[in-house]
Amino acid sequence: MTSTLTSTRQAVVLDAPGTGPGTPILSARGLRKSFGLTEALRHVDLEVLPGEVLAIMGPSGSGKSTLLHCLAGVLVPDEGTIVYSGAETPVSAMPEEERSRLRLTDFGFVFQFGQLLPDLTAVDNVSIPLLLRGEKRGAATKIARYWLDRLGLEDAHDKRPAELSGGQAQRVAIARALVNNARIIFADEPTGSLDSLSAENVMTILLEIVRELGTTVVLITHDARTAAYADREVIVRDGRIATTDWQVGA
Amino acid sequence: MSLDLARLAIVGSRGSRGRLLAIAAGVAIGVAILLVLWGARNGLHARDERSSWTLVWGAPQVTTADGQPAELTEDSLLAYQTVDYFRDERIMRVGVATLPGTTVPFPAGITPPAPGEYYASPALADLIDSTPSDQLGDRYGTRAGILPDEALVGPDALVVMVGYDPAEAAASDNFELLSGFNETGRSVNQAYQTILVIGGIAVFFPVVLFISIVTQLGAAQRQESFATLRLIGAPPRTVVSVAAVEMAVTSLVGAIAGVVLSRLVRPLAAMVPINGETSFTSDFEVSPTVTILVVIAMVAVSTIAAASRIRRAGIGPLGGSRQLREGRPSWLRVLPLLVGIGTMLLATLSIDHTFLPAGLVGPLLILGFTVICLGLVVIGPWVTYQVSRLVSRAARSAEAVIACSRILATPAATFRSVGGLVVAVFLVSVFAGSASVVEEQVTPREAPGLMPVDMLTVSGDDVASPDTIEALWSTDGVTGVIPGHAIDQDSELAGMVAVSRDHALALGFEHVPEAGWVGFDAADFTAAERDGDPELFVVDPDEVGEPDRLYVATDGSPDAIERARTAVDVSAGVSSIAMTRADLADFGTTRLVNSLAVLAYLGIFFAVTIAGISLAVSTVAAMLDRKRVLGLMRLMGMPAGSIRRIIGMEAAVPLAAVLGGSIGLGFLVAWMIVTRLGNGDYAMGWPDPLYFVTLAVSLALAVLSISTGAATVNRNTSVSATRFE
Repeated sequence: MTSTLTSTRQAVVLDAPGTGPGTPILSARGLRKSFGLTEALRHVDLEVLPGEVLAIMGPSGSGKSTLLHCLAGVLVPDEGTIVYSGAETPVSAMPEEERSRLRLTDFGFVFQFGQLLPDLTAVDNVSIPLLLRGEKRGAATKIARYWLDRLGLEDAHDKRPAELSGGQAQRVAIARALVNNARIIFADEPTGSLDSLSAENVMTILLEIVRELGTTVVLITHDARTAAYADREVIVRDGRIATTDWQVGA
Repeated sequence: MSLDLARLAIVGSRGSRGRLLAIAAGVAIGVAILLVLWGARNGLHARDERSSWTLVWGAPQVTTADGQPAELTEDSLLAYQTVDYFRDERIMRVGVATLPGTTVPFPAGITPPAPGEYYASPALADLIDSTPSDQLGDRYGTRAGILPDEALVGPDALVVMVGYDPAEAAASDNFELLSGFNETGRSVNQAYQTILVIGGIAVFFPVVLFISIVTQLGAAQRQESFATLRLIGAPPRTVVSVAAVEMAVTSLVGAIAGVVLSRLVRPLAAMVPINGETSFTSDFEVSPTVTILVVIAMVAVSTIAAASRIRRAGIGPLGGSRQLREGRPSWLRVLPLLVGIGTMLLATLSIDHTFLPAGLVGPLLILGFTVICLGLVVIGPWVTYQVSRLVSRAARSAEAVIACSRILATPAATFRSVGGLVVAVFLVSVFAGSASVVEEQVTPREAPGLMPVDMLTVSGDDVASPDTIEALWSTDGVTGVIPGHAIDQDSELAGMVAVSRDHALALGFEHVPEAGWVGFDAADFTAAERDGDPELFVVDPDEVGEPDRLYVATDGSPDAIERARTAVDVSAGVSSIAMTRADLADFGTTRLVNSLAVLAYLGIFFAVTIAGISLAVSTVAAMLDRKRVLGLMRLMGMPAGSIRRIIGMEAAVPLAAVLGGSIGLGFLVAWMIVTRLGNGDYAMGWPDPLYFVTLAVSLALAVLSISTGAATVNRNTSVSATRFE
């Protein structure tokens, strides 16, 4: 399976940050973020290209989740800027309402656990972003069912998170991330709580769909096998980008 | 926020339906109690107005310019009021005498009764009809009709209006010449209204706490869901809106259910004796405007509270950002309680020293009581914190360390769990302390020098006439008739009763002096109890006057007592009512304290039940809110038993810290209320044994509630439950 996926890698070439074959969809410059006395990010520069699958790796406490949260507008960095899709206003300078809107319309999230609303069925969980955008319930449900079907969850429409397996729950989360046609999906250890078979299954489906749609993925993982699905890896250590591994033309 | 999103957030969540149902139920109970109390407040006023005509002493009197007695005319009436007895029942008796063609308006538009006729309330008419006439009906004459509901306090009211001959009435000192019937309520109800308002607050307060607890049910779980909404792009205002709409819809459903519930419980509420009488169901009617206002207020307050709670929690995409350690409670939290106690003390002391306007005392007591209730809730976290600091120093086990740390970190949240029970125990102590006054009312017992319990006494100018004595002797069940004589006004024994030595022995006196006549104090003789031996004095036969009272001995059967009472009434005419010692003891009270006791026990029932439910709910809620933390402890290998002990300690420490104080405070407040109620006439005694039973039940409820919560430890913190947490 890994070999199949490796063959789907895009030829991504970046000579230096900010240059290359495409304009970065997300560009971070000089990011600093501290929690009390702990410096989680220390002057991080990073660019994410449209359609690429970027894996961020690193040991526990290295700052990779903080980096992802800053890139997604969940956290605001103490210093530095994050520019999304060349917009004039950096994400980091946007007020909370605007960042929320951005997360709703352009970003999707798949986390390790706990991101599904426990009281709602799979269909309702997936339709929530659409409802937040003002879609009617009927239409939202229809779209949600479509995405659940695409992710192989035909039999799980009306199940609640507690009734789903870990792999199914993650696929519901992916459906929810995709339902609004997100341009970037932020995935924080999406397979962290899954067995290897389920993990492979989830990553395969995710990659298939994002490749087809041209969706960008920023993926945090500890697991080298999961990272192998990515076009590019960056390693974060002590709040800094330590190395960048370009999977060029593989 | 779209309606669809709101609908999904509210009704789409099967798991939260139980939580929402609990919130709606809490709001329903609160609204129902509020509406019933509001209705009672209005009803009390309506009852007063309807029955005001029976208060002859407060009616407008007719006097001439020179103070001479005025003549009865067509636009005036002669009237008197007294309390008649049948068995243990009081009968309000109003005598009237009018000239033919009188223009005085009669209550509820009835025609004035002719001499020898009477109007009876429906309950009294039933009683008369079901009782031999020589025991009751003969006292009043011929029935002219039934008093309409508009002239009665309530359906059980025993009231009779008896018509008298104007000449006979004019000759009697008992009658007053009035220009009309009284139209204003009884002043005694001012005190009663104060008590009712305090009782209302006392019952409503646990309900408010209950609502406060249930509306926070599952708040932590809810916050996680809101965080997810925030992560996927819901702006803060949308999350606040979802929480507000959820609470608005839930509390609206609850409030409407409360309105329905209040209508259902009205007949039950009407059965609660207020001032000794039950009410008509219609007395609890609340206007549609007030009902709508209560519903709107309840929905608005709970919605604003829910929205503000979520806004304050500052829920971000990664969860609540402000779920931090609570600040250390300040000693300033003591102040509200001190202010409340001070206010009530001020009002109480003013009763004796009158340094406050009389009209201010009642409102001050109510204000003070309310502030004390609030003060208990405010001071709780401070006391809890101080006590847990002491306990934590002595803590050795892991459970104690964890429990004390949590209490020290969140004293307010920890106290909130037991706050309902602490307030309930306070209220139970208030009710029990107030009700202990009733326990002081002594049931008359047989003792030398006290009138036998099966004997009647009656006094009046013409009461001891030969006709009356003869009538009594011929009454079935009467075993003796002893006339009591007045003593000459110039004698140093004036005011006492003189009887012959034989009669003194017949009255039950011991060690009677060897003299023809002896005297004794009539009030002492008919008192409910006495300390020491009765005093008997030798009376000079020359100082013995005409008989002005009778002592009627009976065979002790209730029928004989009532026959004797009726015989006196029929024979003596307009006079005092013959009474037993039990009647006299009852006559000395307003029955206010007795009806207070009924309300007190109802209050105890409400407070303890609601507090028990509150504690159970809050224990389970606290467990659910900390499911992840407790689950992690179990993952680390902590046995479920240890977690149960942690939960138990977290409830036990604040409960133990505040419980003793709240009991003492309860009795202090009861003393202040009783003092106000009885103008110093009542003394508090030891509470009824029922109080100690209630206290034990409260503690048992606490243990049961905590155990109920702890029993769910296995399920809520199992590894499978926390696998995905």
